[in-house]
Amino acid sequence: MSASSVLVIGGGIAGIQASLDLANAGAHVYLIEKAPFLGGRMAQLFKTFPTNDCSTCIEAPLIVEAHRHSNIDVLVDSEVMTVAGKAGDFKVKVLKKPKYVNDNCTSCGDCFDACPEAVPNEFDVGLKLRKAIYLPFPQAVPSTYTIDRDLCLNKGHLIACEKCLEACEVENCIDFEMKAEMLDLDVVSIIVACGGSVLDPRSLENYGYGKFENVITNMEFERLVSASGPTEGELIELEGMESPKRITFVLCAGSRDVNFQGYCSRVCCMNSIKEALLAKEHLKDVEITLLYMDIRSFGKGFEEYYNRAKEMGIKFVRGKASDVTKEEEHLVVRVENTEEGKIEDMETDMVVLAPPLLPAEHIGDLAKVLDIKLDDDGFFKMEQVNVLPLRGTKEGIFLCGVATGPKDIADSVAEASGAASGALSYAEKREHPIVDIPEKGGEGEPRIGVFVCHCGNNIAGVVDVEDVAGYAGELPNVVHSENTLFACADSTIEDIINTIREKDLNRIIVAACSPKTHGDLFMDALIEAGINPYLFEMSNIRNQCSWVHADEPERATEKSKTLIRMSVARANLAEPLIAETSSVTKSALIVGGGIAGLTAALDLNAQGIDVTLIEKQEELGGRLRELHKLSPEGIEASKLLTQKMKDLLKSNVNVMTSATLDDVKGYVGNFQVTIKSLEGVTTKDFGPIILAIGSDLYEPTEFGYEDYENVITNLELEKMMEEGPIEGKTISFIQCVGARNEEYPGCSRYCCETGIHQAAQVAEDNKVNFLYKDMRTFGKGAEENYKIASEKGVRFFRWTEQPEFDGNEVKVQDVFSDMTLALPTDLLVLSVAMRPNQETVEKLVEVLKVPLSEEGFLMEKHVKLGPVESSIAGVYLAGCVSGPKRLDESVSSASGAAAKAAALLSKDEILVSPIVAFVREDNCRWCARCSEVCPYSAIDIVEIEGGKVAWVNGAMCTGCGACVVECPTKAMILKGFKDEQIEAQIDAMMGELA
Amino acid sequence: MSWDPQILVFACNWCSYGGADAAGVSRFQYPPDVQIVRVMCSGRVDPGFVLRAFNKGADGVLVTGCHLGDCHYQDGNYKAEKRVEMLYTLLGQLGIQSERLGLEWISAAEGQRFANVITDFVGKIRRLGPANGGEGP
Repeated sequence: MSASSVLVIGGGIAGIQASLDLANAGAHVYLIEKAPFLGGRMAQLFKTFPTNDCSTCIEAPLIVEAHRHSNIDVLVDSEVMTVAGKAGDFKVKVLKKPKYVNDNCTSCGDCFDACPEAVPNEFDVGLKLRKAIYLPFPQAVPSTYTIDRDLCLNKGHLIACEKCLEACEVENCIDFEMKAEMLDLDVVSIIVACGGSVLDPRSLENYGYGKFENVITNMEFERLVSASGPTEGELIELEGMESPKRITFVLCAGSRDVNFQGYCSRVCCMNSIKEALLAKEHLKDVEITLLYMDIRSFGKGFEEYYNRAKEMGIKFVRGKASDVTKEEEHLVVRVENTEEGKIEDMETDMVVLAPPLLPAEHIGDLAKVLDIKLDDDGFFKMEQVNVLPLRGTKEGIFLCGVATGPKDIADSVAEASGAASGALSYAEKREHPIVDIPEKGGEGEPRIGVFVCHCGNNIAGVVDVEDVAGYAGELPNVVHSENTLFACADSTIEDIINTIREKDLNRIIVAACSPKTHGDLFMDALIEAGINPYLFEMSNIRNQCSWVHADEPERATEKSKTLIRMSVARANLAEPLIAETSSVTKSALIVGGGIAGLTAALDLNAQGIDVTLIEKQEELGGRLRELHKLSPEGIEASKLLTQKMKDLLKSNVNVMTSATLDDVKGYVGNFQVTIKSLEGVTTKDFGPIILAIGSDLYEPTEFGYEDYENVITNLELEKMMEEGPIEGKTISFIQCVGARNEEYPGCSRYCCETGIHQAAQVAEDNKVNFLYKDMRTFGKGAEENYKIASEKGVRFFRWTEQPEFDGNEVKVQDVFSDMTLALPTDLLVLSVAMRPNQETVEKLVEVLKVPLSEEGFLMEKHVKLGPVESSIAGVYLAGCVSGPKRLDESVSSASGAAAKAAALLSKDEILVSPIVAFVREDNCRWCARCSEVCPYSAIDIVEIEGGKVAWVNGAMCTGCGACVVECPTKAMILKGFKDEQIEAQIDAMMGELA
Repeated sequence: MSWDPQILVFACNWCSYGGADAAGVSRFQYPPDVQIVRVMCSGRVDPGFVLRAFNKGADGVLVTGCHLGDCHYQDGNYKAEKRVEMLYTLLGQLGIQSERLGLEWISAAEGQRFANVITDFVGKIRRLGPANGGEGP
């Protein structure tokens, strides 16, 4: 049996995440990418908001994992040509273009230096040059070079430039005869993660892009400040090459704009704030101004980030720039400052435009190939915008990320996992790679083999590798030493395997490049040779010697010897490490029966998984039961809920209502959960737990909510609208009630959109005032509803000072008119903030020790790349448990959580990394300092005969080693990084080798 | 007689070791007076390791890790920060100039920063001269 295959179109972060979720659940994946490398737009970013995480650092491990995953076939330079058949049985033709360089490439770069042809590099948005043979960026995966044949001078027999071929020292590497291939793939389902494109900024003529050098786009700015960018992170003007003294960011440069795109591009506010902060970091005295229409900092931690930017002295001016001109040495941006009510001409040195995100290039062709529809904006159409946001208009085809509209990384990643969940329901056959890791090799005296790599000329050009290999051969316990042209070449790997067997080696050192990029390759060779992979050491003499001490060859050679001596010291003390396994209970628990819980339950049920869903109320449906008509299309909530309930009735989901979580013991794959219900208390075993506990709504004390009968919340208005028509009144809405204030800085994300939708509905028969701070209608169709509301006569007022209500009139200091207005009001509607589900969250903190954000929502594993996982392995997050979400976002994250749970449940047992802490029980005085510092609650103090002892749960330990340092009696050991090993390395550095 | 310092650098697997790799890939040059020991997390650096290095004759020790807030293990770098602060006091008591111990945050993308940090630290140690009070530069 071989696993069912799924096709993933697009190798950006969404496609990578979807592929990993599918592959980790045992499905086989064809990951198709048009470009010669994986990573997409995220790889081009320097940092990500709101944490300023380095983008490459967090994306690269996922790229490498996808590329190395034995369930994933990565096809770069490839495009889908035709799709036939139907869900469960699609026939796909894929065209794979030749790279002209095969997998023997060691990415040494000798060909690059030799190539005579250069053009601007697409990766650096043209700010840096590349050759005809190139690697788009240093961390690119696959790391094989690629030849751009349009640029290459070698056109068959006409001109025979073969400079790259002459420079290449690897056998059978560059191949001008390589041909395009047409591949036939059988897949059960398809995920479209094609991303989007960006408006060509040259069409933004009034902003002077293309005319003035110092008018640049945000992506150009990103490359300019990037440490790995064309200026190595030095922020300079393109004209004049000096540091700018004034930078102006122009937001909505083509978004929310009748002449270009009507919709909001969702990412530009935060991205521009991030870039403004980066500029401030680079140039302390730079003056920065952001021109905006509304700041849409709607995500978790976004508002705080925005506030930080204001504190850092970044100036925010509300108004859309109308044009950019040049006067002598500087640029002039004209803007209507809507707060001051005047037209301003602002002098600046650099203008950074945020052009709109558009559908992917050729999306129409792809829609035809897939036979699915596009929406009015030209993105892929969702089957239903509220509760089926990840399904295309044809069965078996799923959508995620920017394929359906502009989106940030975190939202794209959550959707990618969600799309994987859908695609998995067609993948009946699952298979996991069999890992059989040899245990032997540690016994007896160390017999060390050292392989010193030339890396072509990369190491040998500086370091005297023969001298180094000779030196290594003289070190104690080293029984074999040799130098080799390319250690990572297939032929050398064979040689290493044979030498291990012939000379009975039990420790291997490769002195070459980085263990982070090449370690796994050599560890696999050890496995093949039949010895434990943890008996392997790497001396990084390329990245740490030859490449960085190029002018001091003698000292680089000496340093290489020292590095090898240190590796020998470590290897002497290396032990075989065996990953322990842990069983998985084949049943999932879902806590919460709102739309998120229901979605997760049905997703898992569709994969034939045993699911129990508990709901604390008597009825299922959660918040959806209380809503009338849903934004943006006005579909009735009850209709969608009824459909879900029908699906649930047909399913095998075990539903318990009036049931609460009472206690949780155990760990990933093996949770013992005590549930309290009307029938009493039961304890059941579960593999994963999905938390879909929803949120509470803020109970207002302001605006006389408790005193006046005509003050209601937005939720109460829903009920009122359902009960009958509201006519002839003056209705005022106040937004941000209980949100975006000092006590509670976060934006609740859902309420501008729903407020506008409500206002547009009641505006037919009533007079409506809408009082807001920033209009955050960023969801699909929401900006359009904003326009409709305005056309229906809704009057808008913008406030920064909180309005007041006396029962009859709303007093507001209106920012637009700069006047205090008294608005007669019959009905005041308060759009209230989402708050954590306090009671349940407290329980979860008690029983699961989940960490909380400052606002009391559960923390995600990673705010960008782990949005549906908690920091506790095996516990996943669906819906508003981790922060306010709109309906479709709750549904997407619920499906995402289901995909994570499905991956865990697809395995009979899980492997635990062997680099974990271990207790020497004799030394332990159970002081519990270790368990206090453990960030993962992996250590408990347990009773044993004659006392107590610390106990490490290997399934929860991540191997950070914090406990080892903390232990006062040296009872804690970190396997693979023992104190003795590090101490021996230090001694060896200073010349002592035991 | 010329003297070259011996400097030990602890680098965490996720950030600063990656920074060192990135410095290599981009060929950012720095002085060869440092040797890197890779640990999974800067929070793994035992104060005993630092003392041992000085005891064995190291002229400087530099602990590096992820930027605060970026730790792969949530807060290991904060732990490292506390331990280094404790070491500053202790080194003074042991008669070792506390400037010989450094703490720096370097991300995996900051190749240039890695090279700069090393260059600066090596320069500082060279100015301080040998730790054992032997012949200076």
